[in-house]
Amino acid sequence: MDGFITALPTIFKAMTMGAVPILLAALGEVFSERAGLVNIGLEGIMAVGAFVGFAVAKMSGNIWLGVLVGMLAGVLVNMIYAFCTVTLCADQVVTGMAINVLAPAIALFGYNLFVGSNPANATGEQMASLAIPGLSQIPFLGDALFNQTLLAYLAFILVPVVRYFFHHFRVGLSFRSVGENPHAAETLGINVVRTKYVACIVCGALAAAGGAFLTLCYTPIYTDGIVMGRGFIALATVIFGRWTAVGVLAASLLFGFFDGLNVALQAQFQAAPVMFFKMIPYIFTIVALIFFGSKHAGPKANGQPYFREQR
Amino acid sequence: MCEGSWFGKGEGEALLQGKGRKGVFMSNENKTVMVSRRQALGLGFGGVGALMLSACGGSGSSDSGSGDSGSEGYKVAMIMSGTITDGGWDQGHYESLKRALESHDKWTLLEPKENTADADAATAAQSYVDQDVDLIIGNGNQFASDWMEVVSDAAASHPKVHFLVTNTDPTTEMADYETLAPVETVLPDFKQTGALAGVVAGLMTKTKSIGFIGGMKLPSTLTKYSAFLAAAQKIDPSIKGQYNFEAGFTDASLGTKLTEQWINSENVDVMWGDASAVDNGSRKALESAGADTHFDIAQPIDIAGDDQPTVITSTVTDWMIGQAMDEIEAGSFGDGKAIIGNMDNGGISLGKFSDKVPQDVQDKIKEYVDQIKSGDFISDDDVDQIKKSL
Repeated sequence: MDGFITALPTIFKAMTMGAVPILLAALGEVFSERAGLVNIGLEGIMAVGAFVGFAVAKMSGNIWLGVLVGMLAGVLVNMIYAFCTVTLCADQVVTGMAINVLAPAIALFGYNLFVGSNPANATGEQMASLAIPGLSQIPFLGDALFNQTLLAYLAFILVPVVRYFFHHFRVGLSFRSVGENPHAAETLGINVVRTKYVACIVCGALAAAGGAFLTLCYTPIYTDGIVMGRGFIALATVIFGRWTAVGVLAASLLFGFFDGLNVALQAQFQAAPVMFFKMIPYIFTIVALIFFGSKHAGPKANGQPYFREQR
Repeated sequence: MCEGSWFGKGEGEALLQGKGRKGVFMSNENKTVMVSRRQALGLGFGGVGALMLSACGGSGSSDSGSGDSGSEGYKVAMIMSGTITDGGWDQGHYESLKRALESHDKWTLLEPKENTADADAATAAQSYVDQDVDLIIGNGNQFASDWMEVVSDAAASHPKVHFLVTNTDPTTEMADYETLAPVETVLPDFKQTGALAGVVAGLMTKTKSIGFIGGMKLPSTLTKYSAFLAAAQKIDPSIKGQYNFEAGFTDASLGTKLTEQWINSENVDVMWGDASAVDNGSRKALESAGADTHFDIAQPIDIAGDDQPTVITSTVTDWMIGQAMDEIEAGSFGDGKAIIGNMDNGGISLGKFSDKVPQDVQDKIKEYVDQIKSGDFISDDDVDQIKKSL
């Protein structure tokens, strides 16, 4: 028990650090799904964001430029998804899977060109943590919550912003209408196709920012597979979080907590089978989906292609 | 038209027969949309492009792409589980290969095959066999099981082709092979590697607490850690070791979190990693805890330098590819021999020290290095005793 209490601050730190990339990608997915687009290509978009952010920050020496260009790259990749699913009305799941195959391959190809020609490029830039005086000294939670990178603070600030957007802005309500009943929305003068494209732009940018967090805030390197399934976890947190920003935050933190707990248990019980502990966050995800993954929840027109002329 | 296709019945036929004036119909759950030929073609090309990029994502650059080195020359190719820029296992192999090529000018390097999954390993090897490549290298013991049939077939049909599998004990891991005639393996002396890291850790730790992260629980991983701890405890018996043998090789964040846990709960101040990208994450945690008090010993390539503030030295492995090339040229390669890489033949060595290692400590390390080389520093019993407790 003493060992667990000693480990708690580190678990909380791991929780918040682990939650940020998932939170960013999941908030992007909330925009996408609120507009009726299930984008399972988050994993691929995050990989591109992670690589482009890493490479641009290394080349320019400017981490924020890395984040920005990484987000732009995520948008570009997600435009493939948008064109296929919105304009061509292709199957969203199949297109998302294609993105998951294509995008990490683009990232790896770019990485090999970038680092293969100059091994010094293997280690990139890293964003410094920003401790909030006083608050970061609070026992147990202070360091975890108030000693973060600026990108992490921005991710958490984004939660009330997104919530406010969907509930108090006309555009936010348009998003929700498009996700619920696009034909009714169209009759009210909402441009459904444009709304879906905007959703894809926001989703691509935020998911890529989540990827860039991994290489610019977590560790200053890019490796093939660095996203490690976080894109899929983000998808699950959107369902678990009932398609709301606050719910997504809670789900991301819970996943982050179980991930931190998994590492703490690995460190504490070295002789025990590590794979058992590694399963914990994913078991949590499955259990959460069993309880919260109701078919009847979520935007009604989610995942369905929109045909303007259909009655 | 196949069931489950985007094209509905009839509509697909219309596409095949060129029916419809400008476009083709795509259907999804009884909902039909007009798609122009240009869009359909775009989708097709996009799909093909995705597959091509996916395929070439795993390939990198090589010093020379030409496969034909002339009648006097030899060709060498490497099939790898990861990428040549991973900063660890695969990069170590690639650098060993490049070193060997520098001293063997008759040899030409073909494009390495990176990110090769187990399921594709045999096909990748067969493609080189078909080109009569003189030496095909597999960088890990998984290739020993993947290549059993390819080796057997090649022994009969392509006698010029030779196989070198690294990190493999032929007596246990190639026992099922029909023939070992064209095969050799490389087996580094893991006890020496671990002991070298152990003396450095033992002399540099102030908290008497050291850590080790391994990617996979292999016999070689257990031997390395056991020798690492045994050597450190030879310096100071009160030293304690923390370990994780199944961290994988890609999740850098796991390395950070694990090391943070050990620093906070066990006061670990020196780490040795055997998990490629995960080691980078571990270094990040050491750096956050203080790069002047928390140190890392890298492997298998020498990376100490200004851009690695926590790395105090590296245990370097050379995969003895030059020796394999010499044997092929002399006609003595094969029969399932294992080339042992050790401190005598340059297979195992310590890299350069950072300025954080004081001169007196460096002198002591050199003294212990000689004892490790002669086998006097730690015994097999010391190592086995720790191994049994894991």
